[in-house]
Parts: sequence; C-alpha cells; structure tokens
Amino acid sequence: MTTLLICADGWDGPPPDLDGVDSVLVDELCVGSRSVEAAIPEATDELAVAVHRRQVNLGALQAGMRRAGFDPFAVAVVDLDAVGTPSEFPVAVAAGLARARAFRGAAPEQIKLLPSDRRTRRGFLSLGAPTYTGAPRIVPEVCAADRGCDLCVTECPAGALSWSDGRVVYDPTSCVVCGICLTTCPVGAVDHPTASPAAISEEIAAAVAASETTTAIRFRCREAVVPAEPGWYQVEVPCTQMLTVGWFLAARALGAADVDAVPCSRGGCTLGGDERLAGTLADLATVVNAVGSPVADVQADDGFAAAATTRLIERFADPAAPGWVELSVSDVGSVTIDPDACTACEACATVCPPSALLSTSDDGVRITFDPRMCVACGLCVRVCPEVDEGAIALRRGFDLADRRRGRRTLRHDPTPRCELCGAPVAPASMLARISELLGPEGSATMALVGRRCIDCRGR
Amino acid sequence: MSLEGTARLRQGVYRLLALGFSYPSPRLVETAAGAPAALDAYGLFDFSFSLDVVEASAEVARSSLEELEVAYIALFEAGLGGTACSLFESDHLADPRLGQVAEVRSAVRRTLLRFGLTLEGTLPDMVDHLSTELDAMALLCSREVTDWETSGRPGRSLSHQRELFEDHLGRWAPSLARQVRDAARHPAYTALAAALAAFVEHERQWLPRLVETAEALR
Repeated sequence: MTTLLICADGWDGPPPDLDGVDSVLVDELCVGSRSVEAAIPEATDELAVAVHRRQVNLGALQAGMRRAGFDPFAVAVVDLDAVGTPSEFPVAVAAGLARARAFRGAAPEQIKLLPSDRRTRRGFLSLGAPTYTGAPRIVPEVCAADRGCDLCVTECPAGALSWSDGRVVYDPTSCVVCGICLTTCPVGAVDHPTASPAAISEEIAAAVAASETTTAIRFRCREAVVPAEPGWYQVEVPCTQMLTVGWFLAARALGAADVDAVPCSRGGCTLGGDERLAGTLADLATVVNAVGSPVADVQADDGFAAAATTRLIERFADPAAPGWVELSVSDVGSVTIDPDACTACEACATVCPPSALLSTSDDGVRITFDPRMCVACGLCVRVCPEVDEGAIALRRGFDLADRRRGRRTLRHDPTPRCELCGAPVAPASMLARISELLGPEGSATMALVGRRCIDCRGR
Repeated sequence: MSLEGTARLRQGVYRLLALGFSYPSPRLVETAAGAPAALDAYGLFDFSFSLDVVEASAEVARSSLEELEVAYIALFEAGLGGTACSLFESDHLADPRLGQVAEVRSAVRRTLLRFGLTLEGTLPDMVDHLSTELDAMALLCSREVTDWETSGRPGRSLSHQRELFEDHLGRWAPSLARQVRDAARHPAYTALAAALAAFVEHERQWLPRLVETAEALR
C-alpha cells in the first residue's frame, strides 16, 4: 500500500482522493520526526510525503522515515510550495513516486552528510539531526580512465576527483555533490543514487503522463527555492550546472511542452558562476532552431544517459539540412585531421572515450571518425603530439547531413613492412617526421629504422 | 541531539559491532535483540546507518548460536590457504613479503598504549583484530561520555578516536565489509558487514565534524 503523508499546515479541505494512494493529513509534519512514524499505517510498503520545502526540518523528517523503516532516498518528497494549482498535486505525487521507485540503493560511500547550518537552542552542546544527500561513485569497470580519460577530473569544480595511474580517485570530503561528473562522463561510469538518469527520466515521464493538460519541465537546483507556476513541474537536480543540451532535449522527447532551468538563489552559483548554464541554454536554443522539436520515437533514456546530446541529435528526424550549426559549450562536435601534419601515431583514437575516433591497421594505419559518437571532450586534441602543427582540430557543433554519412576515414597512412619478417614498421609519415627531426645526422639510423620492425632491428 | 548522547550512541554501535565480529556467544544474540531499542534512546534514527544497524541486529537475533558459529568459522577461521575474510588489519594493509605484518601490529599496539589501552589476557596477536579496534573505539567513546558528564567538554578522547579511526580502522574496515558481503555465507554476517560499512563511512564524515564542534567549545 502506498501512503502519502501531507503536512496539514495550510492545507484546505480533506485529504485528496488519489488512485492507489492512501492520503493522510499530519499536523506539524514539517517539523516533527515522531509524527511521521505515528501516522504511517502498518500495511504501508511505499511512502510519499508532501511538505513545505522552505520550512521543513529535513533531518528530523528523514529520521522519522528511518524510524518507520523507510530509506529516505526511496521516499517520494513532494514540495507543496512548488505545486502550481490543486489540480497539479496528483501530477507531483505521481512524478515523485516514479522517481523514488527508480532508486536502486546507495553504497555507504554514496551517502553524503551535508554541512550543518542548524544549531539548536542549546547551542554548541547539541546538534540538529544531520541531513544527507546522494553522492556520486565512479564505477571502475565502466570508467575509461585507463585509456587516459580524465574529463570528470578536469570538469569537477570542487577538485574532488583526481587521476592516478589509470584510475579516477574520488575524495568524498571535497565533493559538493553538484552532479557535473555525472553528465560529463562520456561512458556513463558515474553512478548517482538520487539523481540517476533513469530516475529523472521516470519522473518526467510520469509528470507528463499524469497531467491532464500540457506540462513544462523546470529543472531546479536543489538549493533553489522557486515559486510555483501553473503548468510547470519542477525537477530537482543536484546543480543546474550539470545540465546538458541532451537533458533538455530528453525532457522534450518525453513530452514536456517546454523546458528551462533555475539555478540556486544564493546570489549566483558557488560552483563557478552561471555561465555554464547560460551557455547550455544558448546552445539549446541553437539546436532547437536547427533541428526542430524532437520526434516521438526518440527514447528519453538515450537522452539522459552518457553522451546525451549527441545521441539525441543523431536520432532526430530528417529536417532540411541546415549546414554547420556552431555551438559554444555543448557535448557534440566534429574532428578534422590534417594529413600533412598528422603522423598517424593513433594517440587520438587510443584516448577517445566514446570511440568516436577509432584506428585500425589493415593496409596501414587508418583513423576513422563517427560524428554521431563525438562528445567534444577535446581529449584527442590534448594528446596529439603534433597539435602545434595543426594535425587535429575539434569544432563544437554539428552538421546533420554530415552526421548521416556516419563513420568516415579521416586519415590513412601506409605502413612499410619489415624487410626481414614482414611485420609493420611504423606509419610512413611518422618515419618521415622522425627523419625530419633527426636531420642529416640521423640518416644512417633512419635507414635501418625505416626498413625493419622493432623486433628485427637488433639482428 | 546532545553531543553526550551522540557519544553514547556511537559507543553502543561500536560495542555491538565488536561483539558481532567476535566469536559468537549468547551475549551477542542477547545484545542484538535489545540493541535497536537501547540505541534509539540516543537518537539512532537520526543517522543514515540506523537501518543497517537495525537490520543487522534483527538478523543476528533471529539466528541460532550454532548457525552463527558455523558461519563465523567458515568466514573468518577456516579455509585452505587462508580464511575467506580476514579480521586482522595486518592482512589487509601489510605486505607479508616486506615484513610489514609486525610493523602494522606494533603500530596499532603503540597507538592503543598511547591512549592508555592494553589487551587483557594472553592474546597479544589479537591487537589488530577488528573487534579489538572496534572495542577500543567504544572505550574512547565511553571516555568521551565521562568527559561530557564531568567537565562538559569532550577532552582529548575525541581526537584519540579520530586518530585511531583515520590511522587504522577507517583504512581497512570497508574492504573487509565488502569481502564479507561478497562471500554471502549467512544473512547475519552479510547484514553485520553492511552495518559495519555504513557506520564506518558515516564516522569518516561525522568524526571531523564532532572534533570541529569540540574545538569551538574551547
């Protein structure tokens, strides 16, 4: 049985009659922990609470949930102050329950104790009940750090991630739980218990499905207090800086009439300003102008998952090709290689986290590129030893006609064969570059290096 | 939630876990049965680890002593080429090829001696056993309680707790908990491992906050 506890403060009339939900009005639900336990019928196996987020003593509320045997992360929390009209209350309950049902548990290290700004009247000799939030965890089996990827490390605004010996090291003490690592990771290696793509996808889908009219989606920073507005359903995210164009597109794909985001209201985001969100919203407008609204068969799960933006754009219908669409911050891009400067060392393809760049060595070194997989991370540019010569370039943006061409060869360099064993020696252009660097003094060395593979040079 | 009450709660959880990872005794089953109610008096449910502690207590309480003994031996005492899960810090942190086992054990012994704690009886090789370290933490929490009662301040016991935790227990208990969970021999030990992991992770975040609060009192 699903039980919904509603804070009676300011509630007019009897508890609402919701399908499959037993609603109970509770006095002072927002302030007292014992009232939660006492109000829950014994047969309850699923719990939701509707509280005033601005007033609620979250620590006490979470304690009450635990006392009643419920993990607070698995309880749907509806903010009464964010519900636009009484008719939208069932929408908020359905969406909250959907998000809570998508919770798949949290490892101990994913439960983050939030800083306490609440002191009780007894002052220093006592503390308010602690509050917790979900924290990210890097899944090593999925992480591409062993291939050199460190995107989450460079993007983390709190310095909570570091790269060491092929793995990402997470410092929970420094983490501010902004979620930027979650949307930055191109391979989906970041697990977030309370803001998982699956949970947010379910929440939005439920809000749209439960609404009798159209519903717009407003992503809201967990710190922000946003007044209710009829027709807009608020989706809480750890920080709006984490949002990508793909997340907005995914919400549209799920049926949201409109999308926007509200950052925290603490006089500007403490994680480096709101420029990132502003850039994302500008890119969103550019993308929507270029490709129109998402079509019905776009799967939102693809949108919220890793590499969200590029996946959704790839699955759009076939609008008139608008040519190149330039973006400023988004995770979609296109790579070009200058064959005159590239030495075919394959570093770019080795490091590329989503394998948009791939290298094969059939009849020489062949580097191919699929723009539908590129997340514009720029790692290929960072690792290229000939970048100063203009060997590789990345442009942020897309060309629909170009994307439809799919994977193409950017570079093909023949490889001389070893005169003794027939194995490949090295790409011809690499040999030429080494020869150029060594100059005339290296001609004798190159005469051998160019003809024999590494195993046969000592013979 | 008073700081003294928090110290009592932490003392109780450390003691429960110390009993849980010692060889099973009737006292363990008895303590587990009454633990949730006893700890609730000190605000157990204010903390994220409470559900794991309740679950572990319930699993232990509903197990027979014989079942627990069989599972304990299978997990922690028997095994060809070593136990399935070792309860000793030195097995987790020391490289025996480099002779670090003795080093780790003496480091634990030195730390405990500095805090005025010595092992009773004739089991000096138990010094880096999980139960010993958990018990030591419980004793330090107990001193903190006394300090709060007598002087209204936590004294040095809080910084001792932090030192023992950060230098020893907190460094290896999570990996042991994962091993026990993966071994999944008996629900009581799986639940005890989950409680250990949840509590230790919470202590990692909570102890610095307590120390900071105590320093503000000075």
